[in-house]
Amino acid sequence: MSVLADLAAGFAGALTPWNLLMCFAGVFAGQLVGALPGIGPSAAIALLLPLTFGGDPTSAIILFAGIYYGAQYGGTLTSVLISVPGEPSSVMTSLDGYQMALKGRAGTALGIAAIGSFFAGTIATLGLMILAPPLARAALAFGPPEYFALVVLGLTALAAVGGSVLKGLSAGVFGLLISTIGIDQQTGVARFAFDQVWLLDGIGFIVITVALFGIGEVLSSVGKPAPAPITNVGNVLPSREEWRQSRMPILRGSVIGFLVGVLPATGATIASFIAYIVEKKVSRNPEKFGTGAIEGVAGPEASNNAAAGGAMVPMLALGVPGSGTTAIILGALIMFGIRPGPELFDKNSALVWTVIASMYIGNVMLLVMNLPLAGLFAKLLRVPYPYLYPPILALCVAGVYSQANSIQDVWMLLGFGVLGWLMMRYDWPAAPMILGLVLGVIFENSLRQSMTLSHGSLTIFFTRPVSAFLLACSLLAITAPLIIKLMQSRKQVPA
Amino acid sequence: MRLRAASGEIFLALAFVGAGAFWVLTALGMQLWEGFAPSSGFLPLVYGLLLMGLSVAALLLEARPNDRTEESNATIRQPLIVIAAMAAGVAGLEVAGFAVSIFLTMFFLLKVTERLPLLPSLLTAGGTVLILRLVFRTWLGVPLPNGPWGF
Repeated sequence: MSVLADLAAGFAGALTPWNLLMCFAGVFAGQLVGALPGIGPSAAIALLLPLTFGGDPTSAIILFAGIYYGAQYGGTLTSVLISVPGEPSSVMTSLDGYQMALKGRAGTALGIAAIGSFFAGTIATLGLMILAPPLARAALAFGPPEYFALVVLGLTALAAVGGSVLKGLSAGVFGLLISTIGIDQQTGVARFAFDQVWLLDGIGFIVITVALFGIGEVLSSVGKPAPAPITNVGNVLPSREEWRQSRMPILRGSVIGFLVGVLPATGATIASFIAYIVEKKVSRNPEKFGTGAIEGVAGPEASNNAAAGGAMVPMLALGVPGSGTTAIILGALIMFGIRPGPELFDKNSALVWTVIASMYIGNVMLLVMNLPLAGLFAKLLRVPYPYLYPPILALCVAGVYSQANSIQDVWMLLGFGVLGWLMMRYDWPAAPMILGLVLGVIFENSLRQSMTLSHGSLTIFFTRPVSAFLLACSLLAITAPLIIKLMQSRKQVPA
Repeated sequence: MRLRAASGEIFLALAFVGAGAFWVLTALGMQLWEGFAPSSGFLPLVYGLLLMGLSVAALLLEARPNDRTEESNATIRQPLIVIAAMAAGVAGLEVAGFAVSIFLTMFFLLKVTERLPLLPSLLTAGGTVLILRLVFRTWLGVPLPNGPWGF
């Protein structure tokens, strides 16, 4: 009953005119950035962070969450119409979605994706509502060693899901390293400030995030040729037969997506891969996959949307993000002075439940927007990127400058933007770096508190069951991909 | 082991190694341990050592193979032009003010780098500056830098 009462209160908060507007703005912006190649939800949230600072945190998180799950819908457009996924999580959709578009069934592909995404998003929000509060309650007993282990798990898991564990870990450690710039809160010693007053507060989360995901993404995208989109969308409503073929893939995709999304740092991309593979395995006609099978669109699309909801579970309940974008939302929470983690449901219950309620509303908005307006959004793909990126760069500069009215911050933006470009160019993931930066202070404080509790003994991390379990999971997250890689390379070597 | 990484990736990894080395050297000058717990220098030292080790390992074991087409001047030229234009724009912020500096940077990118028609370039650059000024200066009250002409 308590959950229903909390949800009712959440709806009361989410249905205020301002929060409804934020929800609409979020899903609309998410839909746009998901559709436009060269800018993703991480960059969009990073760009909007400066505009929300000083405002109401609940409205800001509603906006960011809307961008996050809205982008999953938007990514489908480019996957289906130009075979270029707007988001990594839409890669699998492009396999069959684009083939459907070539056969004149672009509307059906987009329609089933929108319907599947709506069901999946709703199921995921329901799952979030059921799973997150007890998880947060259980985690309320966490002490400093458990927090320390949780941060280690978050960093290692996020590092492990990219292409290279070593590159991911390097990026995560670099983020931790950056977090040590400024005054040490415990001892009052200025570290790595180079006698510069403006560095005593450290390098702002917004500067780094906008640089890596805004400037870095622009630099990675300029000069790349844009393929011509198929803009004739046609009828978006699936036929009875197409609906019959799609309903089980949508259901399976929703469940897979939510469960995968809940696991720290797995996210929507892996969820859509698994959903596609499962659909192909259970299909009576697996040979149809890759040639325009509607199940190949319905399953992955449901899955990536459910995963976006699932990823909010560890983010809200434990303070461990389930994806790169939720890492930025986590940073935003900290920026607003809210401590993410188990206490969030207790101390900021109104915020959490209003955001959850807004996700139901946002999913309805996205369904309404996507079915009749799919053709209109498709036309957006005709806007050439050369017209888009200079305004994005200008917004990055204005947004970062506005934080502290500091030209030095703008130079940092450019410097870290170049770093972000190089990292993207050579597949060094940027998300672990953001997470390292965000969690650096919590990591250091929990380590110090744990060591003080244990009188300097490291055994405290291994004698407490939850901490030991989380550290074992971290070890698994790092070693499993390395072992798999080793086994694959051995298989390739002829006997 | 023969290193087949692209020169850009080698530069990136070496930059991480350099940052790690700097952190280690600086941290050694700080107090590392106090009582039962780490002091200011401990974690920077650990992070520096880890970053150096991980970056070298990533470069040796998981660097992307050197793709000469991808590394060609043509694919790097445009991002470098954008970086240079941005650097000029940022340098001009305090000299010419936000509006003029950002307008000129955007106009350069649109008209010169992307070779877009004159009028759309002017409208895009001018419109963006106007919107940003309205949002940040008028709505949010951010004192964006002014030039000698008062805007």
